[in-house]
Amino acid sequence: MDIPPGAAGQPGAAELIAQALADGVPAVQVLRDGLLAGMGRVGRRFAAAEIFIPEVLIAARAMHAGLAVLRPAFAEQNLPARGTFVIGTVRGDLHDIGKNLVGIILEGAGWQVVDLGTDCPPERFAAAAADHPGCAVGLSALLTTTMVNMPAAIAAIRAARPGTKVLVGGAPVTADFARTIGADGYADDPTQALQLLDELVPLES
Amino acid sequence: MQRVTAWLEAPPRTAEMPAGALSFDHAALARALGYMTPEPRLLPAHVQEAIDRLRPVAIRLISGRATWAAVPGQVFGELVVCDRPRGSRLAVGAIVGRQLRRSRALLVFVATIGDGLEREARRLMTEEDPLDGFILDALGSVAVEALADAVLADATREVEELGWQFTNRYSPGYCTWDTADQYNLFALLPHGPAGVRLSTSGLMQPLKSISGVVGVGPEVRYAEYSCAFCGMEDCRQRLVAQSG
Repeated sequence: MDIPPGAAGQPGAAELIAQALADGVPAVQVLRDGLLAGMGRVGRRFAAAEIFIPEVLIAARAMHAGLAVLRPAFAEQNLPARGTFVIGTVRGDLHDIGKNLVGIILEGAGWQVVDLGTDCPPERFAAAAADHPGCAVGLSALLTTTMVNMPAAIAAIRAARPGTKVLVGGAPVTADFARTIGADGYADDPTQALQLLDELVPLES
Repeated sequence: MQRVTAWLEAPPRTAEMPAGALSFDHAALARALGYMTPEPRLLPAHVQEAIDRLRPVAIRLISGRATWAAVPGQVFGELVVCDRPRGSRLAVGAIVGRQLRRSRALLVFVATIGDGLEREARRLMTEEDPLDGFILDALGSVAVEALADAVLADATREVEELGWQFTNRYSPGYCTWDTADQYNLFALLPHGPAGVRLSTSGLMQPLKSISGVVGVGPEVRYAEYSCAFCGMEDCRQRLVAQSG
């Protein structure tokens, strides 16, 4: 594992969180004021081109390590995940790197991610939306020939569970296209997806 | 003249390319990793270390292969009408059509590094370290570009020996050339060129594959890629160029 300079030999997210919990800081506060606040800062620095995808992945790795320590505390308090996000690459498309990046970063930010894989027919998205009430759904495509399969997926999702928020993304997808097909949002990168979800699915206090 | 005719009528060729012969261009790798800058830059030490560690893995997993053929034809604006198979067409769009004009033939190619690297990158990303998976995937993206360049370097050397010139290479998806035209491009080569399959949605498998054309003829000229001749505002290449 590659450790950024200055971080080697220092306590990482897991150690710091274990210490915070041992000091009596509530798990939910560690999550919101520590991990989620940190991920928010990562998103802002990414948007400002101060850091790039490898650094975001390192941050997500730290989030995962931190969440592994937090999870037992959440289980004790029966705290829910930030929300459920169903994600998949649309029918005809086998590209999954972008989809995986989004899944990893959202999971790191406390979302329960349901990954449907690649080449997903509309019915698979619809079934997942029906199985996960209140979820948001992300559709990914890397080709102009496959992004045209997004509208059918959206229609199936909305038929299965009206009002479900749908995000779209992928190299050929644009904000205009997203509007045209009735998606609730378009994300150009994983941190934008996270930001957009935070707007579309407000955190219940 | 006889040499030109013989070259144009030569059957399609398939070549294997050892991974060790491919170069991993530093600037291209930085861009593939998301460091959005047109200039080569010093990567963070921990990223460079990961690249150095994963490059031998990439070389072990890459199986480079390419098929190419010279296809006589003529460019009419947005269309290339090919002589072989007779009447076959490529709808390359106005921008690529302009770059290919005056071509007497196209070098049509498909190149792939196989599916070993993409499978390992996926495994790393989902089961081990996402950063390693992402970096290995980026190494594969750069390698397949290098493979296409290497194969075309050999092919265009033959073009120069004929006294002809050649254009830059263009692929479905470049500028306004629709990726749906992949079917027509593949129809210009033997079935399953270089072992690459085309899905019903026009997706090449293995994913780390490139298809495309180079215009050749006595009057064509080579031009670097430039956003100046393309109006696609959302294109990632344009965003890279603007980010410097």
